[in-house]
Amino acid sequence: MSDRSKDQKSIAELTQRAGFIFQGTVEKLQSATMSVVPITDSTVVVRVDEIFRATPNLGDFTGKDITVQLTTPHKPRIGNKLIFFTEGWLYGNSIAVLEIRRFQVNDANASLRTEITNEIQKLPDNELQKRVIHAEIIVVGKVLKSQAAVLYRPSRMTEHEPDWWEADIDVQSLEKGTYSKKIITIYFPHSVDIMWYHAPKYYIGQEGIWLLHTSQIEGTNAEFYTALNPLDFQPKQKLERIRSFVMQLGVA
Amino acid sequence: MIPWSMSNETHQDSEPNVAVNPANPLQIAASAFTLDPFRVSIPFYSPIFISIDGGNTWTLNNIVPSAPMTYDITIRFGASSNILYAAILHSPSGLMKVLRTNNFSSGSMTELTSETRASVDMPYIQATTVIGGIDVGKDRIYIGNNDFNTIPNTAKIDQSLDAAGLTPSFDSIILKTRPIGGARQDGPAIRPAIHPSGVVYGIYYGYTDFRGTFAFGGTATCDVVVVRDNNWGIGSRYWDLIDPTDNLRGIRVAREIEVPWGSQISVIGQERLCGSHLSIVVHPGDNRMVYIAWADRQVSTGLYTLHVRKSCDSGRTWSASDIKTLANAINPALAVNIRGKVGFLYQQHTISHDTGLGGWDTHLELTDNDFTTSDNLVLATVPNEIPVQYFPYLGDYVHLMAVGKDFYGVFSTSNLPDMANFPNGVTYQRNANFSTYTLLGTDGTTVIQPSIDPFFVKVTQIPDTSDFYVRDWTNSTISHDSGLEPSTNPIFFQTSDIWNRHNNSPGVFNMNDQPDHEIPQMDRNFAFARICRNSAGTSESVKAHFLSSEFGIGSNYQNVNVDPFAHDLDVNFSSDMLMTLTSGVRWNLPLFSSNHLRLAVEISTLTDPIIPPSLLGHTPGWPTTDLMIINDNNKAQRNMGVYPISGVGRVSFYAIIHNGATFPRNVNVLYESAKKIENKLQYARIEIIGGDSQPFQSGNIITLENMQPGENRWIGLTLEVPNIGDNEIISVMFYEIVNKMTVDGFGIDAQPSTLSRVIQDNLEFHASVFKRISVTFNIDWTEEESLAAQNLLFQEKTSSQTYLDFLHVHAKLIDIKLPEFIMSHTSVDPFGIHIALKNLENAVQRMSHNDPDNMVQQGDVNVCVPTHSTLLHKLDAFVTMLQKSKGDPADILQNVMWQRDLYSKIVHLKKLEFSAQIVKRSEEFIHDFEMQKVGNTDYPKLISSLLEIFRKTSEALVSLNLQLEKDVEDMTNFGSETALQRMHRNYLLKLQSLDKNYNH
Repeated sequence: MSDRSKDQKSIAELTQRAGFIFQGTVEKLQSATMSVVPITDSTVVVRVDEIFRATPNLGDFTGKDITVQLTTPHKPRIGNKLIFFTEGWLYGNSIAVLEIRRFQVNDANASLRTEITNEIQKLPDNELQKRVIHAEIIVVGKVLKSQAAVLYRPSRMTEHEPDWWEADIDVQSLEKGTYSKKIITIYFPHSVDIMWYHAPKYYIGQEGIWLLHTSQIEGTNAEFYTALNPLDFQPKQKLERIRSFVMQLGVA
Repeated sequence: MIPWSMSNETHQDSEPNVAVNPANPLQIAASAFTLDPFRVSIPFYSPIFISIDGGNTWTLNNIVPSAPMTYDITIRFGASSNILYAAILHSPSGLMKVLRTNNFSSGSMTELTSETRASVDMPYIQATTVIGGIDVGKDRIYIGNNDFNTIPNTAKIDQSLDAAGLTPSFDSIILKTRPIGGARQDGPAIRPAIHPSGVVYGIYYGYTDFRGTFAFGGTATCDVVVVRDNNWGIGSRYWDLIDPTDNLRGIRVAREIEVPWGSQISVIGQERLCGSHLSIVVHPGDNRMVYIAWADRQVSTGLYTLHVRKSCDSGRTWSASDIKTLANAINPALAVNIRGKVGFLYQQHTISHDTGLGGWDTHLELTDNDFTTSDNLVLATVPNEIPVQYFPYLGDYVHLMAVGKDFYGVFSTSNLPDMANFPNGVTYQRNANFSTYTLLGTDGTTVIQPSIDPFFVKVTQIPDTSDFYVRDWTNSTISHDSGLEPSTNPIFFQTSDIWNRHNNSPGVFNMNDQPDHEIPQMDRNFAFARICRNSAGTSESVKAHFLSSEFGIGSNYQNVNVDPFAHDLDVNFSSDMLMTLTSGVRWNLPLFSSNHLRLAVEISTLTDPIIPPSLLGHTPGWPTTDLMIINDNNKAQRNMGVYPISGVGRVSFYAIIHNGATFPRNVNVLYESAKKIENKLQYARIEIIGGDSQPFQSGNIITLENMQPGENRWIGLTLEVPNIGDNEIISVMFYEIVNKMTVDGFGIDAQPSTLSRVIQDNLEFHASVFKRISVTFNIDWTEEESLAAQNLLFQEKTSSQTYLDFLHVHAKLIDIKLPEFIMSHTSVDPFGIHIALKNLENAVQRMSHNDPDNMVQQGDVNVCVPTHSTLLHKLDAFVTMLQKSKGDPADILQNVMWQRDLYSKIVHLKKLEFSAQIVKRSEEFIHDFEMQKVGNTDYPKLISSLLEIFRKTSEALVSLNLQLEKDVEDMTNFGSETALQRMHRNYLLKLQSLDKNYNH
């Protein structure tokens, strides 16, 4: 592997790991924008010039000073323009982030910005691809029946009770794995408790693509297909993309 | 609490919890179902809220290893370790994990892997730090949890007795022992409550039946069960409360109640119900006083209802009815502050009369009288219109805690920015426009949809400007008591800001900012105190009241003998002052008193009074294990014997151990020294007067068995005087231990000094001890002894030779006359005075090795000095023993409390028709004494008024052959309050003998 490909890989990895990627200008050394931050030699204030990746919850920090806790050697100087890959730390009247890696902004790495942008655009696909890889079977279909799971007998009473339901899906096509029947029954938690609310709920008439995994369902003493991650159910419009991922696996 | 930088968030941040660092209440942590703001950070963490300014501002700190948030989470700080602990249900695994960090604003929390477990629900953590005794400094955590691994008995407390240790171990205790009936488990809420004395309570819903399902709604039939362990959860393993109706573990405060369950039909105002609404709290100053709250569905009304009840006897019995009842209310959270004020945080669903629409009101009620009256603060009153994102909507619980006098709480509710929703005011950190009732993003323009946010509330009982305190300890100019309640240093009697001087000058503070205390002298002394507050701002007058008691453990305080009789001193604080010294309060050490005393001060203002009771008539630790000195920053005591030592040989010191309780007990005294001076104590011995002596072993406990109420015993410390040039102070601390917990303590500092200083000290001591004997027993020769020593002291400086000449003459004189004095009072010589006297004689006349022909010549002054000192200490303690045998006015209140307890608890007495009357009279006297409405001079009046009852008691118990008639007769002819106290005590001792199995 060439050095260049190493860099490419690292940019991909960094982009995946870093929740806040931005270009900034070092404003102050050994300083912080929040009193709660313990100041060390590695604490610097950076003005955010351009944001590549951030959570929408954070709002737009462009033009604002934030605190960066450096983790890599060779301390920057005031005025240095750098691209920071960071992860979250403190969020108050400003934010403080932990550096994962930084790059100088200069002519030698002019393509870096493009690479980062490209990697960020790939992120949703990357996540979906991971789910495709780990799915045992993938079906396209339509929910025919959705009801409380017949076999489910909960052994405990808890507010985190999943309240398992079962959905019968009319299989229109099998995209991955082995399954020969026309109807497949999947389990899903009907509960909207904190522990389960994020898991997709399935209702009669719903159509789409299910990325299915087998799970041991407590209270049934058996394994059932489940699609618990929000990415495990996709609209039919994503079919070509998912097929391309399956093709890459060569296991369809 | 949502910070400005998270202004764009719309998540449902429900089920909050809060932890205040008792060692630094500016540090506060809080939790809720709050998402990792970036949601992609690897490794995965979720945030807690932190504040380092007492809750004024909040920051999210992404340190909890669970993502994108935790499921259940509760958090608590150790009491003085600064370590934050969390018990969570981890996402995505659902495992229960216990986490900790010693720096809550930096770094991440680490997992205590031995406690990681699957199939557990609703872990609820409490933590403390052992403040004294054997395990001083260890963090103890208690996690109530519903453990499905032990179905059907699922209510558990998991505990670690050294949670800050390298690899903490956990003990998991199933609480339920009753038949489970038709249920398969207990309820999810299991709440522990810890008292610093080591008493641990727990409360849970013990299920007996369950109908229905969670998904579609069901009903649990259950008991509300309170359990208790008197010794950190390892004593009886929570068997210290037994229900008398079935002899099983735990008192059932409520039985066969109905608790609705479910997220579809068992709902109030969009919130589900799941049996999570339990709370328990123990009064930090009195481990017997416990409050609980629970919820149930009233059969008569069908309404979901909160109940609050109280126990004053450690959970054995409970108020017959609710002291507070609330319909349609959830999330009870109780707290009791150091002064006994109760805080009750809850959320109540309301229906508007005008609109018919539902809403949620969050209340914090504060009461001093069990809700007869209360300050009812409506913290929030919001429409119930924010859509549910998931359950719980507001949370299955909220939390309220007290640190010192202040209350700290957290709750979740609608963040719609409308001041009308927050009648007591609110401060948003996130962007909001209260005029347009809109939340705004970080850009200040984007409108953000309202959601559920956590809100923090702090109720300050006394502002810093008016919260005056006397330091319990000072280590240096930067490390000292800052007024925390309780204070955090286990040694609260060595470097306190109360001290004595021989003249009306406070002396010079040393480089560590500690005052220069002088051992009280005969006749005239001056008591000083340094009074502080943490913020300037108001001019106030602070009253300072000085007290003293015997040096040692357990002796009751009395007012210092002031001249003129004005016990209180007014100290004026101008508005800009943070600290001032009192002027010296002149007090007299009576000629018949030992100068081995402890001193205390109590300060008060109209708005900042002491926590009752006063130390007057009391001793720290009794009648309860209330640490009344460290719990109340208005009180401080100095209980140090600082003795100069010099010469060659051994020297002995003594202290009184007094049983300050109202029942017989074994008194345990732990002694210890710093490791660095252990080599200086390798030949030291600890002596129990009338018992054994043992080699000094730092950390050992000596037990004084079966001490009767008011009984005194003595312990002694004998050590080698260090070599000349070794000037390190030999400091030994003694602690009274109850349930492994320190309730009182004193210290002995042997301070290497020059020979001339110790000669001076010995002569002063010689003069005072023999004066005491002269005054107390009217013996002429001891007066001459005292005068002889005083005459020598009048000389400018006593040379070694002059001192030896003095001893040469007086050792012989004493040897002739002292044994007669001793034998006239006792047939035994408990302190070994005879031997000490012989040792002194031998020292002053010992054979010279250099001149064997001259057999009797004056000895070595280096040997004489510690030998003389030892004789005087023994004699001083012996005289005190003789004095105490004649009665002790300091024990008058203790006698009355003991009398009350005997007549209310001992079966033979309790059944007498007049017992209620004597208990009532005793209670009134105790109350008035503690309020300082009556004093020792009113004691004879009380006893006179009770004589008839004493006579009737004597007649009623005549068959038991207690021979009480003589004691009653004695009390009719008492000569002094002191004598009356002794006679009364003799009477009570005989009554005490009726209780063969007194068991506390």
